[in-house]
Parts: sequence; C-alpha cells; structure tokens
Amino acid sequence: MIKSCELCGIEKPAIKRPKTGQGICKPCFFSAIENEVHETIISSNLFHPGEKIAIGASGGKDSTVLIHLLDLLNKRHNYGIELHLLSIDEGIVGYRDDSLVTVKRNQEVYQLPLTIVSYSELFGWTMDQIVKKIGLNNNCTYCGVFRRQALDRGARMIGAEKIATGHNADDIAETVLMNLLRGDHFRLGKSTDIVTGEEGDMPRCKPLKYLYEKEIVLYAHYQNLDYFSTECVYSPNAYRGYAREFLKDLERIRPRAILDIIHSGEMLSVSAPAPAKMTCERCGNVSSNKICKACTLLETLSKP
Amino acid sequence: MEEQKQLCYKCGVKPPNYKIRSQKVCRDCFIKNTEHLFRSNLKALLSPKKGENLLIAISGGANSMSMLHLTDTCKNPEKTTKLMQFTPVLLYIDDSFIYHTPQSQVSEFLESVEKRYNVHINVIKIEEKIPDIEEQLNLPSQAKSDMLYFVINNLITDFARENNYQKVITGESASRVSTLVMSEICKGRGVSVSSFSSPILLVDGITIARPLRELLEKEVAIYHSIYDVPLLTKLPMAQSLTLPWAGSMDILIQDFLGNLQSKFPSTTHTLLRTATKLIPQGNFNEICAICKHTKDGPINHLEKFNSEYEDICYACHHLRQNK
Repeated sequence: MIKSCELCGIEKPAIKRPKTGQGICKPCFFSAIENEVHETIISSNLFHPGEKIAIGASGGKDSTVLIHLLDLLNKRHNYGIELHLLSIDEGIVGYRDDSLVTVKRNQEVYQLPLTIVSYSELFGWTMDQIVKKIGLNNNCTYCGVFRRQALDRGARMIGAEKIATGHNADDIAETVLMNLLRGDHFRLGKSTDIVTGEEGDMPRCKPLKYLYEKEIVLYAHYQNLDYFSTECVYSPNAYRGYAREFLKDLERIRPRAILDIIHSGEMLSVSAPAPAKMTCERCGNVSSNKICKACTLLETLSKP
Repeated sequence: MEEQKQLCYKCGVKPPNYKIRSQKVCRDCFIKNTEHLFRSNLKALLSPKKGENLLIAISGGANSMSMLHLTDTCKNPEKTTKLMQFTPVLLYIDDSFIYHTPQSQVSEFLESVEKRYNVHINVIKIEEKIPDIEEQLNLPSQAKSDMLYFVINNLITDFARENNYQKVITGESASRVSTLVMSEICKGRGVSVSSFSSPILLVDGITIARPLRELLEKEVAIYHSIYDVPLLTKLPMAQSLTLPWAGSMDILIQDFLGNLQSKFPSTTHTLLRTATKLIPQGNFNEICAICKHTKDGPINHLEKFNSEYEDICYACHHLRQNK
C-alpha cells in the first residue's frame, strides 16, 4: 500500500523529514519550513516595520535559504522590512570569488541591493596574503575575527539596523558543545540567544535557529535555489571537526538531540559576571579589551 | 639527564609504571596518591564521624567496586595513621531482572564481596520494589537505560531515607561524571547540569557524595586491576545493528570524550570545571517527578506541549514520548 503524506494525507510523500521522521510531500515540507521560520521571527519579535536588515550573504546554502525565506515571508506576512544583501570578500582565490558570483546571481533573482566589503579595503590584507604570512595553523582565528568586524562595519555603511545571519540549529548545537568542551562558559551562556549584541549598536539575529542543516539542504534542493557548495580551501579547523562529526552521529541515533542541546543551552546561565563590553581605543569598534582582537591581530601581521 | 626522565615524577627514585595525564608515575606512588586523594575527598565532602553510618552504593562496576576498596583503606592502619571510624553500610540494587544476568553470577559476586570485605550487603531486588518495572521500562534502549538510571538513584535515596542514613557515597569517576554532563546536555536536561556535575548533592535531606569525582576512568581501572577487586559485568542495553554505537548516545559520548581526552589531556577536567560554573537561566521551584532534578518547560515556540500540566521536566517529557 502506498502511504500518503503524514500532514495532508493526500499527496504522495517525497521526503522523510529529518527533524521529525515524518514522511511528507514537497508542498507540506515547504510550508512546514516557512511556517516554522515565520513563527520563530514573530515569537522572538525579530523585526520591526521600517527596519533595514542586512543579510549576511556568503552564497552558501544557509544564507541562500535565508535570503529566499526572508524575501518570501516579508512579502507574504508584510513585515515591512527592507532587505539588503551584505557580502564579505575575504580575498580567497578559488573560493570566495566563485561564491560571490552566486550571490550576484541571487541579487538579480530577488532584486535586492547588494554591498560587498572586502578584507583588503577594511584591513589592508586579504586572507591569501595572511595565510602566506602566518601559515595554515591559526588562519581561521584571523578570518573569524575580521569577518565579525567586517559585517558590523558593512552593515553600518549601508545604514542597516540589524544583521541577519544564516546560522542553523546544527551550528548552534555545535557551538554549545564546543564552548562546553573548551571551557568557555561565558560564551556558552550566550551562544543560543536568537538575538545577540543588543547592547551594542548592531544587533545580530538568527532566524534559522531551529532549522536543521539537513532540512536547509533539502529545502534549497527542492526549491532549486542557486547556491555554492564548496568547503573553504583554508578550513582545517580540527577541533570543530570533532564536534561536528560527533553531532552528526548523535543526530543519527536521536534526531531530537540537536533541539535538546539548544534547549539545554537556552536554560543555562553563568554564575560569574560577564566581562564588560568596551570600545576599542584604536578603531572604535566593539571590544572586550582596551584594544580589540582585530587590531591586536593586525599588529601581529605588521611585524616583520 | 636521560636517566632522570625515566623516573617516577613523584618519588624520583623508581622507574614509572603508568602514564596519567602526561605524567609518569610508579606503582607505589600511584597507589599512595589515589588512596590519599580518595580519603581527603571523602573527608572534605562528608567528614563521616565516629560510629556514623555511611551508605556505600555499589553496582558491581569497576568504579563503585574500586570505591568500596578505597573506603576499606580508610580503616586500614597500614594505609593511614588517620583512621576513619564510620560504619560502612553496603547497598546493592539488584537489576539482574532487567539485564537478564544469571542469578548464580550475582550471588557469587555478592558472596565474594561480603567475604573479602567482611561486610553484609543489603540487596534490593528492583522487581520486588517496583512490580510494574517492566512496563515502566518498556522503551527504546537509550530511554530504557536513562529511566533505569533514575529508578536506581531513587531506590538508593528511598533506602537511605527509610533507614535514616544521612550520608551516601556513589562511585562516579571524573570520566563518568563528564559523560553524564555531556549526555544530559544532549538529552535536554541542561538546566540541571550543575547537580549532575557536582561532587556533592542534597536529595530529600540526604547528602550524596562522589569521592571518585577527581579520578579518571583510567586511574580507576588501574587501581581496580592492581587489587583485583571483584567485578560484575553487565552488557549494555543498546543493541541496534543499524545505528552507530549500537544506538546508544551514552556509548557514543563516552567514546567521543575518551578520544578527545587522549588527544587533549585536560578535556575531562575542563568540562567538569565549566559545568560547575553553569546555573539555570531563571527561577525554578518544582522538581521533576521522574528524574528528581529541576522541572523546566519548553521555551522554543515550535514545541507543541505545555509543561504546566505535567509534573515532569522537558527532557523526561521527551523520554516518555518514546513509548
């Protein structure tokens, strides 16, 4: 006997939904994903009418699905927000230049404005030059710190009130585990927040917080979205790799585990007071110390 | 210079036998260290007084059996000059009904322990205390072993309360506690992480301490094998042939942390230190009826259940959903 979709009971099921294990048809899968993201946006009060939202667009699956969903839901539910794509060009030949072509194609499809800020114009260094100087050992630290600041500066440049990023449930669960394993209890308390940096002038939000990575891939695939799927050429982040592999095994045994890890993180706080937020004396950006991490790293780079 | 490198880091005289967290140690120093650490932990956590009853919960595994042997050294004048005068009371929760362990094997084990340590063991048969245990545990393997863990813990505290024993010790090692912390976070019981990681707990007025909490699984295993302490082997419940790690989250987590520990020797202790600094986000006054930890509810709006109508926590809600 051919089973029918477990949600509508009419269509033939096309997908076994990773999060719930239900066999459902494509239209039901699309509406489940769209409704969940809409509910997350509404219940967390993420956007307000008239706001300009910078979408961090890398050309990868997460940000492509984020652009598609925010554009769709903004029109469908009249959020009244203005969307603006913001891409960071780290200067990695063979990776970022190709993915930016994808972002440009999406910009035309969705008819949204696009701004690209580059490491070379902001910091005077491309990632290729940085790797040439420091090797492959610590390069992800530089890239991560610079990207954080580049997104902030880019968003301010275009006059956005908020940044939306494509972090998914797997990313958040992975971060909770990583922070627990390396003893970063301050970050652990904050890593599951849907909005961060509200105390600063550029808050960031994660509308895809509860979407599984597998569902994002399925959604992008069945919606025929145009995304770029190559690993960064410099990404041998071994420790995160362990956590990621572990999470994938855990998901196979118990698909709920990802949601449960996020729930655990959401219920936790830290018994010690968090370090105060400051402004970098050199560049004026948000910092935890007198001099921000980006300036410290730039100083290291300038040494012969 | 080369010669010195080969000597025990503690005494600097004998050649080392074991490597513990990157440090090489000889057999005698290892025994002395382990026993000293245990006695000072027990004293700091519970300070059992002269004539006071100390309930020792044993499961037959290497951790709790090593704990029993270590407790015995507290009364051995050859081991210490500061003898402790508490009265040990042993408790074994017999779960052979669940694990299908042959009864003869259990009796043989209990007899050997009683004879070796010259003590009487109180035995509680799980199926006699909870007649519907089979129905309660009618769950997939991971949920079943979680539920059994809570049932056994509750039976231990019930026994202590009924017999007016104020102080209990259980044998979780540092590796076991870190696995437990990680595992409970992955099952959604993060709100109670501080109690899962704590060396001492207060449950219903009874103090439960974990004097082995600073010792790694490896240290316990070495100590256990040196003294050839009796052991009762139970097979894990998980038996899936298609899922990784036989479908057991606990085995997966144990393996993952064990691997990390071998690459990064401070993994276990970092995890434990982090866990003790975490507190619940918000105020919770209710206790979950199943796990006896903090009762919390869903905060993700996509979860379609209301915890206000239940007396169990978020994780136990999903544990029961498995049925």
